Amino acid sequence: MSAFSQLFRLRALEVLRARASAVFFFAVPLVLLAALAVTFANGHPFERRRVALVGPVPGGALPPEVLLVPTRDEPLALRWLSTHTLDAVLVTRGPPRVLTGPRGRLLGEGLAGRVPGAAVTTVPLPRWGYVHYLFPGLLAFTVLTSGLFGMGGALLRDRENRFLRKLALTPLSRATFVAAQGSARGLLVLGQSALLTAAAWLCFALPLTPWRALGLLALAACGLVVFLGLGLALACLVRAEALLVDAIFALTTPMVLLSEAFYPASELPEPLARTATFLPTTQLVRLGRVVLLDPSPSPRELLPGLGILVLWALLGFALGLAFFRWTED
Amino acid sequence: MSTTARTATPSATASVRVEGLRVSFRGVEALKGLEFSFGGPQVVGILGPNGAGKSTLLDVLEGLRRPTAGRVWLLGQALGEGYPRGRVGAVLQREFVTDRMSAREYAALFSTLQGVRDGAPGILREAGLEHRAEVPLDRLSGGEAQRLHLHTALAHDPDLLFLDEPSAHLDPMSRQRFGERLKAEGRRRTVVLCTHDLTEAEAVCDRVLFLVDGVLRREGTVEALLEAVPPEARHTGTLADAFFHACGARLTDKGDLA
Repeated sequence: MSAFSQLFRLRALEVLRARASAVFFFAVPLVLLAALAVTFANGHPFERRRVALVGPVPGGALPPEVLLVPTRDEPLALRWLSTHTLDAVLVTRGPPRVLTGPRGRLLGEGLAGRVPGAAVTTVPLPRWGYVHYLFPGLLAFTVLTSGLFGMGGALLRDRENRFLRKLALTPLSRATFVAAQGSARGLLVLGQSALLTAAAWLCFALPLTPWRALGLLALAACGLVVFLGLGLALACLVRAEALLVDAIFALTTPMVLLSEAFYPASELPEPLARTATFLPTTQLVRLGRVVLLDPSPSPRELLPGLGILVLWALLGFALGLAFFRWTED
Repeated sequence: MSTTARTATPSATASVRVEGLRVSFRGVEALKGLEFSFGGPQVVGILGPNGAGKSTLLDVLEGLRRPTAGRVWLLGQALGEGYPRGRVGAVLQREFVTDRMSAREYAALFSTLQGVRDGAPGILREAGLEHRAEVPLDRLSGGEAQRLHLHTALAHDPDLLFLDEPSAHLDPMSRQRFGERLKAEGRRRTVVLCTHDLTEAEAVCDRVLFLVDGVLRREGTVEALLEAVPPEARHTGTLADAFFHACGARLTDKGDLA
């Protein structure tokens, strides 16, 4: 076997050999999935009434508690309505109409009263629609922690137990070493993501097609490359394992909070909303929602986000390889 | 005089050649202008008290630390212009231990990394560990682990072998066998042995370097070093006399440090 395949095999078996570690590895994301589903079973906790607007802004004054969200077309607006993150859809293109879920009938009547000629239609909404909204965030979080700890934590441990020092005495290149670590972790995380996606589809009726499932896995792979790179950079810049854990939490907390996993960044103060746009987690969540929820996703919508992910991956790996250290000093 | 710190005659074929080597880190000058050279099949011992700079010197020779100043050649190649990894073997002072890798996997990985195909069976056979091949590294005894590390380091038949405190955790029987093995290896290649064990050094080494406070205090064969000890500093008639003399200490008639 080549050096690469031996390192690959060892790294992959490292998790699977320890039963508790393997169970933890696969079970924690499922527990998080269940916890989020239970916590948000009653829908989105926003105070303002979010109404998708399909068409021009209506002439009549709307009450201040209504936030109009311009939306491309009616199928997309209905998909967002199904995730319980909108209260109604106001269609002004053609004959005006208001679409609501069963619980939004009263709001729908009120909106229709402000838009002359508008009719109200109630549409059925899926029970787990908000879980569908949350799922890309959960996937991003899974990839984030697996990437950062899988590369950063493992590398630091290998440095502290002198495995890296031993490797440094051989002709092994740092690129081969990093590639083997990343590939082994990547395979495990893809399995983890596939299991999570299948569980969400089976238990919470995630609106999956084979293409959407593949798209989500491809996104997970892209995200993993980003976070493996950042994990590598952290492990090379940070000296102690305890410090690395702190650094990872310090990095992940804002990345998760600003990521749009639980609410749109537009709800945040303007500087934070702008910052959030450049975070890899935000882009992963946004791209995940396009892939999972948009009835007719276009590649043009995906490219800017993918570009930001590529930049983060380049930054992480460039820093990591530049500051790579085999020894503890 | 051969037993004082000196500049060896530089030789293009020297296994190790060091000129003006200085290393500083964290505000401490660990090595203060070392000059020495040796080559050919032999066992060279690097001895010194704690903090003398032995590990730092070995780090430099193993290519793990850059000198602050000076130059080092290994097997004719100047460090900084590359490192002859394929011709050097090493056993670390604290080898890494894990419950996640078996003896066979360790031997297979490191022999592959050194360019030896299917090296594991030979390593395990030489180390007498064929029956322990699937045992995790952390469950091997000290002697078993040391044999595994040594024979893995020898798998690619290096011209230069570095050993850092290789017998520190061995029982007397294993230590005796290990010493005999080192002497045998010293007839095939240059072996650099970093140790605190004066008895082992005296029994095994053809040549000894005394490193004290980052400075090379003495260098020479065991016999030459013993001859150079002044009569008033001779108490045991062993390398210990030369060592303590080099360190600026002396033993009392009862064998205690004065």
